[in-house]
Amino acid sequence: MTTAAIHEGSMPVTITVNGRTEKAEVPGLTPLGDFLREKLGLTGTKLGCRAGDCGSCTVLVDSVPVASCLMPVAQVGERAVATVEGLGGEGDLHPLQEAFRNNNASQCGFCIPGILMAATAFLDRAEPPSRAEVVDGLSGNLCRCTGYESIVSAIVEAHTLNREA
Amino acid sequence: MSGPAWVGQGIPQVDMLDKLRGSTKYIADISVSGMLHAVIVRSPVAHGRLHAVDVDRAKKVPGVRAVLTSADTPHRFFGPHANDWEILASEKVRSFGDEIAAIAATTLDAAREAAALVTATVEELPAVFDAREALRDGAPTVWEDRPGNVANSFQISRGNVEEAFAKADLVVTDRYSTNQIYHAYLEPIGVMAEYHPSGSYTLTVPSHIPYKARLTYAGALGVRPDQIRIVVPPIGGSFGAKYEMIEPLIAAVLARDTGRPVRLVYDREEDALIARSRPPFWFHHRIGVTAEGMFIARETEVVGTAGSRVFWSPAVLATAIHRVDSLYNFHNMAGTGALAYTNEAPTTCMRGFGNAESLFGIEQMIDEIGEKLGIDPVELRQRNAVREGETTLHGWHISSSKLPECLERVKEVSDLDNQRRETRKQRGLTGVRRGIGVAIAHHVSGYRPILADYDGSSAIVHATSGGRVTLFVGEPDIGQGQATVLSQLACDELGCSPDDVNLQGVDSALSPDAVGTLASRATTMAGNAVVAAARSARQKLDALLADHWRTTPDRLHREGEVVHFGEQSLTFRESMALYAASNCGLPLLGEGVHRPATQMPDKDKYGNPSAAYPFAAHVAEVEVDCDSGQIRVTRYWAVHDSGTILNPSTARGQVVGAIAQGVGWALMEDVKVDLGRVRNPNFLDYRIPGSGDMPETYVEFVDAYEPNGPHGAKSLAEAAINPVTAAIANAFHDATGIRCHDLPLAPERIWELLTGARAQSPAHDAEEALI
Amino acid sequence: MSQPGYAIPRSVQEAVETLARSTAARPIAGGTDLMVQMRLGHRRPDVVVDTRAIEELHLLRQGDPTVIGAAVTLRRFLGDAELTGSYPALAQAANLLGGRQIQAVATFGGNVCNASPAAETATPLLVYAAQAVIESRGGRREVPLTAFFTGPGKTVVDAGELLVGLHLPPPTGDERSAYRRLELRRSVDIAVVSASSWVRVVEGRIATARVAVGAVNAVAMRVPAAEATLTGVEVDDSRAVERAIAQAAVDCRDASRPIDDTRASAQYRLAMVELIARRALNDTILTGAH
Repeated sequence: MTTAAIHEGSMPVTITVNGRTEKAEVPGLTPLGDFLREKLGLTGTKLGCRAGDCGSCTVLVDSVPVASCLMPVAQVGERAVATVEGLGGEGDLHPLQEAFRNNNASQCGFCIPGILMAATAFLDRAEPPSRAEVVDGLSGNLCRCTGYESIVSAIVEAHTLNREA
Repeated sequence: MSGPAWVGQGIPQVDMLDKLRGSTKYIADISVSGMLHAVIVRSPVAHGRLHAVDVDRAKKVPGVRAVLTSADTPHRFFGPHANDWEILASEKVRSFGDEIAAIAATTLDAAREAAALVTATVEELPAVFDAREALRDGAPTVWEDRPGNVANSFQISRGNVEEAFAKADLVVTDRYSTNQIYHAYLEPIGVMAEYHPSGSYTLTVPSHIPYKARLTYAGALGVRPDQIRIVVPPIGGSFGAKYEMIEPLIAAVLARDTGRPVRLVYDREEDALIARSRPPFWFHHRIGVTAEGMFIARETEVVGTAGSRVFWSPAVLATAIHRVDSLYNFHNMAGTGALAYTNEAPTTCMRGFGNAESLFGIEQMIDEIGEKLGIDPVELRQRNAVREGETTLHGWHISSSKLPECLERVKEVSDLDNQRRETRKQRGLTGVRRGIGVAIAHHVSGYRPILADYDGSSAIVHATSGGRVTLFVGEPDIGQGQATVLSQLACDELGCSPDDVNLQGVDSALSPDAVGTLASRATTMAGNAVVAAARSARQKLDALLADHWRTTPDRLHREGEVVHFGEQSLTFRESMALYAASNCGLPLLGEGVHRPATQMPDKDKYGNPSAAYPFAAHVAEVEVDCDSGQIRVTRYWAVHDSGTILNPSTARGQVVGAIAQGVGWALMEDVKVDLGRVRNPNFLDYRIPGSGDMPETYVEFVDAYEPNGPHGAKSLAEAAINPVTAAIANAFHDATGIRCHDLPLAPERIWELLTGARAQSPAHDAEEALI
Repeated sequence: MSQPGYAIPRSVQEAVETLARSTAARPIAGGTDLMVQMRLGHRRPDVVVDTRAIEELHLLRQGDPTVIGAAVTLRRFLGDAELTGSYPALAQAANLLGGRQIQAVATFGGNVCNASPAAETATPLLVYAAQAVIESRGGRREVPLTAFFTGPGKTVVDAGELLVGLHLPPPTGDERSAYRRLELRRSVDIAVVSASSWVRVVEGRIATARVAVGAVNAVAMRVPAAEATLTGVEVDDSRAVERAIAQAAVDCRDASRPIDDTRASAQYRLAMVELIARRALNDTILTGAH
């Protein structure tokens, strides 16, 4: 009978973030969000509650939005991680960033990286999302400043900008 | 010069790109070399005598550099409004949150491990958890030197209120209460402190009144204010909570003890457990009216909770008692109030600052008066609202008001009268009922008594040879778009583009001393100062250009970013290169001082404390599921007089954001405290509105001009939250016929009210709706 | 405060061997509950066994039985039109659990093993007569979900055991079901009370009924009295149906022993469980939601 290796303390982790492969030795249960911030210096990902309630820490894992405060880094495996730092290119803006800018869809800005990453889920579809669909799909992201209206407008607009691009 | 190129444009916020790229550095994103992590050990009881704190085991944890108790601090009592703060608790603990020890370690894990090993010997004392009980005879005493637990009190009166009530044709009396609201900023509290061998400190703290906070901190640390350099990083939301806090001082004493920089960042649970929430208030209001619907007397009594220490609650209490007199003219008034010490976390101010709390009840009572007298609620408000040009009971001068227009417009765009005719046709308290309600509000644009020394603001404009313009003001941007509107104001003076402009984060080593960003004052005060500073810079530049072109400044002509003289022209950047070259590299500097014509209220609290007053009229539509008590705001209309709108896009964002906070307050937010302990310290059980909770919202700004504001502008962000709970409560009443006297109007409370109403008139049950 | 060990077994057999090495070992799937509980010190496992690499736990297929692997995420289930069509109450519940970021990683195994009395998927799985498939070194056992929950946060899954998946009877085509809950806001929330119901109609009569309620007892549970009330009712007799639904809802209330907490008082929960059960039954029987 075989048992799996139990990694006590730190374990080797290889992870691809924004297209770059990074290696580190960390406890496997280190939340991905802490790993990104502390080990890789990618502080764009914010930790607002560490409980999956606010969405500020949302990143993409194989293009799917997940709460990085709850995902053990050891669970990421081969999957590609994308953070807000990888969203736009140098100098040019991602359609979401452009639309958020056009709509002033941020105030204090703390929730915005998570909202941007969650919003990427709306861009891949053929038809532009309705406001109601965005409201529903965004219901796991909290913003205390904006009242969401400008954010919803920006996401709808980003879909158009993305199609044009 | 032609008209403004930038003022009035809905341009994107100038600091937006950093926020969208994730490159804005909030406290938790800043690490410095040698930095230690701090953790606080808190009282395990709500009230107790602290006999000993044993830190020996904690000190032995590897990585721990300091474990401090009160004995290790410059022990003294201090505080912004009462000397009842300590850096760490000494003889007694007075709430669960009280800080009894502080740890700094090389890692957060080590600091936490050490914190778990600190043991306190505490003799538990009887505790008091309700302000009304705390003020009764025989209640446990929170502070021995304050028997009776009165933390603060406020009295004011004008005219002869009893005589006026005797003359009134109708007197309405009622009680209302407002609840404890967590500011619920998305960025938990975080601070960083550094101690320098010279005996000075650098405190990086998200305060929006940094200079005022510095006075408190200097008093606590026993240093001169100038021995503290205070640096304000980007703030991930505050809404009043981060004004002045204990955390920077704890980090400071740890930094001094260890000689290393110390960062203290809360998790959400800790942030919410010690939340210095909006103070809960219990109001008794009495309003006297003539048969014609003219108000002639108002009396208000308020009891509120200060908690275990006094933060900013006294200012909130005073506002709750008398600010409404610059919205309505009651002719005679008397107001009294007291804040009680209790064994709960201290409370403090939040957006709306007592005015919103007071309006929750008063705006409902005005509807009730209208019903009793058969006067339309909009008409009743029109008759009694303070008018432009009027000086109110307390000497407040209303230099501009388009409130009448706001009321008419909101009535029109919400189709209020027709909608109300429809809602009045509903029968039976089952199934889904709809209701619509109106409320109005106002606020200040600055408040003279905040600092004893001065009001107003000053600004420095600094432009380099490359045409980069930096604005220095002492009023921090808190995400509301202030950097943007100040840039717009500067650009119209200087002839540059907002792309060229930065607002320097407030740093006491660089920025002007200032009152700060509070009391809705920044746009008006800092805006005027920036205009003055930019104008003085432009005058210097124009003098140089005139000299260069051998003409006089009055013959220069600006179009956008280009200065023309006849056929010749220079862009802003070219003219700046010329300026620097002509002055051996000196940047173009402009300084501006704005001294508003405000008055420090006298000993009777008479005098005009604000240069301008914004107004708003709101209408809310709600749907109530009478079977479950679930409620939602379905549509919302907000019409505002904020004078000239400097940036319609960010202004709209302020209104919609304020409505969201008001909807949360009205319907779902509530800090649940049981025996002094917060039971819902997380976003799962402290619910703030999500995207799905927001109504469809209409926002309009009426044409208006405020003579005391920059380009005619006045404040906005607090006026926009002030009427929300009342508009929703009035809509709830329209839907159900029930007055809700307490916040929030959450499903269970609504269900209780409806169950009570059905029991009183069983006829409602006759119509059983199919669910 | 040392970190728990971390193991990534590749098979069920490896997982149970690993779990058997310590009585304080605990499986982790999406981590959406466990990561928070560990951070707050509510659960303190010494070894965490990551189930993500175990193929069998990702099985998801409709059939006899329908299999939902323990590590299947809510999103994956929600993306399967056949399954959501066959088990609509489960789809409604899964869609209300957390935001998209949570649904992407939260699993059916995690939701039932966390054993919150308010767990969204518990009442639909109860009315679909799910069986929990549990493996240990000693072999495999099946436990009906009705016997699975033993208290708040507690289940029959013992130390050394692993929930492999859930088995549901296949849809027969003549049943209807629905899920309802009461929440305190419209965005992501947790149920104050919840109810699911399922009926099978044969020859115009309710041949079998299953009703379950959540957040009103120490565990999510079926309500046999309500099921008995509904059984035999002629579905075209609208008065009889209405009467039976009203009585079954009262049965649900009578079976409830709710507590007071920050979300609601016991009294409110009692009133609401009747209302929400009635609404679930209306959806199931009258509206005919499938």
